[in-house]
Amino acid sequence: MANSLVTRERIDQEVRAALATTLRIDANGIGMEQSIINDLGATSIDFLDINFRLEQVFGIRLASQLLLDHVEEELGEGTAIDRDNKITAGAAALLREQFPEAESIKAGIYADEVPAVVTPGSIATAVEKIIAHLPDACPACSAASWKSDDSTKVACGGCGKDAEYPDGDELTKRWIHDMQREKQLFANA
Amino acid sequence: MSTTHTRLRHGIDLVYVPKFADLLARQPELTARLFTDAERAYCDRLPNPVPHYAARFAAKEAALKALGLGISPTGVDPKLKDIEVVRRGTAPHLTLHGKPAEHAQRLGVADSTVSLTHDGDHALASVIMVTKEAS
Ligand SMILES: [Zn+2]
Repeated sequence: MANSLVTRERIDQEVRAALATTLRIDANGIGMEQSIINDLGATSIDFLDINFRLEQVFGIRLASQLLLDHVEEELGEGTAIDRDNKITAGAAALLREQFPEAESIKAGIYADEVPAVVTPGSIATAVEKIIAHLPDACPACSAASWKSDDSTKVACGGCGKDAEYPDGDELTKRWIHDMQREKQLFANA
Repeated sequence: MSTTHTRLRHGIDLVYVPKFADLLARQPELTARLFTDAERAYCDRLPNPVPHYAARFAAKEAALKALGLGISPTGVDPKLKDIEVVRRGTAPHLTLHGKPAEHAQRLGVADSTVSLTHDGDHALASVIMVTKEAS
């Protein structure tokens, strides 16, 4: 069931707020399509902070592994990155599904160019995909009503327990297998 | 007849220690998710562990750069814990496990060296890897 208690607008707002706090910049000046690394100047320590803040705000667990690492784990070593550190055609096609705006993603670019495609918008989409997995009914008390006081954290309308979502790594793994079944992006996998 | 080509791969990383200290204070579980038991045992024995943790974090990032994998935009990337700084005598050495080890093997990394330093608010690490490929 889609999660109508938390709007995309609200997610965007929280992503901007997390970035602004961590990077000490003005939230209003953050564009959703800016590269967090190249345009906003974030380091990996900043990502540890930003992701943690969002996980706290929404009660979720974002993916901790890169898509390229998940692909290699699920479909075999060498399926995403070749011996020259360049991304494969399959990996490029999959990344374009995850980051549709990222025109720089092509087969043959270096793997270390990929993190720069992460934008406030792509993080908001990652959050949105996780909270879309709100179960129909509460696993604890079976009540089928959810509520949210702050439009970020969702709790059961029956027993009051916080909603639990699948984590980002789990969803990424499922998605890779779905995409592979549907589009056969990785020939020898 | 075959010859061996040697190439160097280099990565450096600089960490602002107060920022790292703040992060560890707000996320106490982070130390166990980023650092191996041996790294924690070493740092926690010191009177002021945080700069040493910061230097080790810099080493992990520097190693990812040397491996051509770039920085991690995902929060606690499990690859970070798989890159370990171990002490042999007074000198630090790099030990790779899991995915970073597989990746190093794929690139033909034969040897590596790491150097750490910290002064005041900054910790820095430099990692050099040597690859050997037959051609
Ligand atoms: Zn309930």
